[in-house]
Amino acid sequence: MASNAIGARLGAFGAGRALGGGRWLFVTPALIAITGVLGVPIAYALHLSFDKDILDQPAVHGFNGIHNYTAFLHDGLFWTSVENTLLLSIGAVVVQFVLGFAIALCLARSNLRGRNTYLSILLIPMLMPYVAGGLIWLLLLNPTQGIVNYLLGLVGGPQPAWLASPTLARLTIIFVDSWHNTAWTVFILLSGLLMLPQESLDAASIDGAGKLRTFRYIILPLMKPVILVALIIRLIASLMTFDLIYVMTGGGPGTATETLSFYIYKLGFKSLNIGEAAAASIVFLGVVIGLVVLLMRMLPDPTAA
Amino acid sequence: MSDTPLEHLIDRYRDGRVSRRTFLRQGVALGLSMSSISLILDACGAGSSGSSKELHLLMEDIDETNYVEAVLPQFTKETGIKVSIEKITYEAMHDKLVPQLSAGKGKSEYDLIQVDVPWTKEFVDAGWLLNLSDYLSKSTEVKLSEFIPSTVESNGIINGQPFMVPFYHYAYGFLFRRDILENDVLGNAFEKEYGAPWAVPTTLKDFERFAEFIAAREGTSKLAGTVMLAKREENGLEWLNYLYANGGDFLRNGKSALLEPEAVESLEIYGRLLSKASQPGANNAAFNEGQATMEAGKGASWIIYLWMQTALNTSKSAIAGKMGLARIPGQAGVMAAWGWAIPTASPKQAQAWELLQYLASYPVSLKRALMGAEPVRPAIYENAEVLAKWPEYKEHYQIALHSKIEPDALRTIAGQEALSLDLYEATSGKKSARAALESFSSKNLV
Repeated sequence: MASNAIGARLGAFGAGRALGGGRWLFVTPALIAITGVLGVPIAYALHLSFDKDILDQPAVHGFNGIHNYTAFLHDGLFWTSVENTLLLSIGAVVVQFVLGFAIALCLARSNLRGRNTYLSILLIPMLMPYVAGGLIWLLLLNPTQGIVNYLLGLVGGPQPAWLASPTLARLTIIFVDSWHNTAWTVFILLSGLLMLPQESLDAASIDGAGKLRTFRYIILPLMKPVILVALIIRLIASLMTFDLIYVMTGGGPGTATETLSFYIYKLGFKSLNIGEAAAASIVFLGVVIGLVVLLMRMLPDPTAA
Repeated sequence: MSDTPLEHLIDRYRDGRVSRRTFLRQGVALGLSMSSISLILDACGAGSSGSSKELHLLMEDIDETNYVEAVLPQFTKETGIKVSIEKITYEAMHDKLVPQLSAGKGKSEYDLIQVDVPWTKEFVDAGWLLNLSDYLSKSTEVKLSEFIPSTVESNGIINGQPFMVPFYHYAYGFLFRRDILENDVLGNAFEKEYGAPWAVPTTLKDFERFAEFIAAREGTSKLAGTVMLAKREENGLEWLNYLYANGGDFLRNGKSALLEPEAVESLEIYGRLLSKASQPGANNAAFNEGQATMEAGKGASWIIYLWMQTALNTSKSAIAGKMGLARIPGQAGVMAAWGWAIPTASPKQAQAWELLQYLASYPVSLKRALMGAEPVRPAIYENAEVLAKWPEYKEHYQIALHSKIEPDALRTIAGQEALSLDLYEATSGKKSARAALESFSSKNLV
């Protein structure tokens, strides 16, 4: 198509050639910003990760080789935090995806009135800072004074201490995280659903395919790229969840909700072991970058014929 | 005649010497450059914002801080120095202090800070707190000998040097609901079941019986036998009271005493009370939640700081005026104290000392005590005016005198964290009390 041809000509290098050597002038401000805001701190963290740097031992200082990396890898708490991170992140993403897709399917119906109103209501939790949301739920879920247990009590239901047992605390974190972020998943999946070719769906309907078959054999395959984007981006964000844990459980009870980001925070701010905290952060960054690369590879090439 | 570049530009526009487009372009450039220069100058400037006539404090958001705020106008009137206080929750304090204290000489935002027991050694080892020897030796208002010795010992002296002046102490006592102990129905039932008087418990085992009786009878959701704070990093200090009350200790004759019968039993009792007699969610309860539980009338007792008696009795809650206080049931409770300290990174150390001296002086301490602050000077505890207003302070003083300070192992965050996790293993049933204490002992922190 003409637009693709133009797009190919005005692709990054095409436009660059057209503009000559001045192309770098246009990207320099952005490069400076990215270098300053991202590059310098990451480079410094990398440097610190090979240093022995404990703030309350200023006399102890110097190159420490890979000791900072091996130290936390031998710490049982590190592996507990990895396990918790995977449990909480995958749990949250699965809940958000299933719920988000169900809501998106309902909102994608062509004869739905008031779609914008529903979307606006769904947006409210997402606009709230994590800390505010966490504090609100902490109050709502208070075992003796929270309204949730009060209402449960009125109908004769159980009134558990939501954050006092490891299993319930994890489920509660997953729930609050999902309450906050399901709307994002809804928006992404809804946009994908609204872009589906109506002809395919009409053809399936004419051929006698029911809703379930249409969903399984038409919608799901066509939605695959959108689903992958939604899942991986949510997974990356969930892996880095910190404020919710900090506000609601402090990593407890015991170490039940201590995630990797919380573990790193403790290393840096409680133990004041900056070197080890930097090393753990670099490892974490590597994992997240790996997921981003995976995402980029899974995205369809827009220039492919 | 225009003075500034901006005024010059406006004049030229009015005279028609520049087009509107040129005016807007140059105006934006001027505005942005002025803001940028101002920001850059601020960033390059000496840390603590404002002039030497302003001091910034970081304090915990509790009543003690309100009492300090109330006496600041007089300080400002006398010295011309304005004081602003940033109030935050306890949980956030250490995290806010670390970046400021490590910012480098003259770059701290805070000029005077309050420091808790587990932070002091770490801050001193990092070189972040000013040695106050010189100031103290020249001061006529503040002498460490005028304070309750255990408050100084608890937190003020590190490696034989003074780094802090006591601010207020949080020695632990046994708070109980007087109306519950005066309840004849409960009393008769207790006496019938146990053949013992319905009275304030005097040993740890008595306390266990007292709390479990109430919880079994009333239901912990309605009335917990005792409010407990077993959240991570809170349970260590709470259990320490049980250890001391049961006659146990961390060290005896230079050796670890954590595996002695009194210590193991204290943890077993702590675990039983947590599972049977405490409020729902005690496993994850922090101080504010404990206070809310008591104020809602859902706790019969609480092993907590002495100053909470005054705070609860003067609160606008269901239990105002009903809280009694006794010694921890057993031999002793914990004594710990907050202290005033000056960061080495503060650019206004002399002014900070002036404020510290003012706040810690006898007259100002007396004013604060009359408002309800917990004294750290024996002379204030014995003051007739204070005792007339707060007669319970007589008991507070005796309790403070007979309390024990924390062991060295718990005067660091790492030590408290390690103990906290081992205690959790015991109270959640993953390990026996003995195994949990063995685990902690093996970490060579004792």
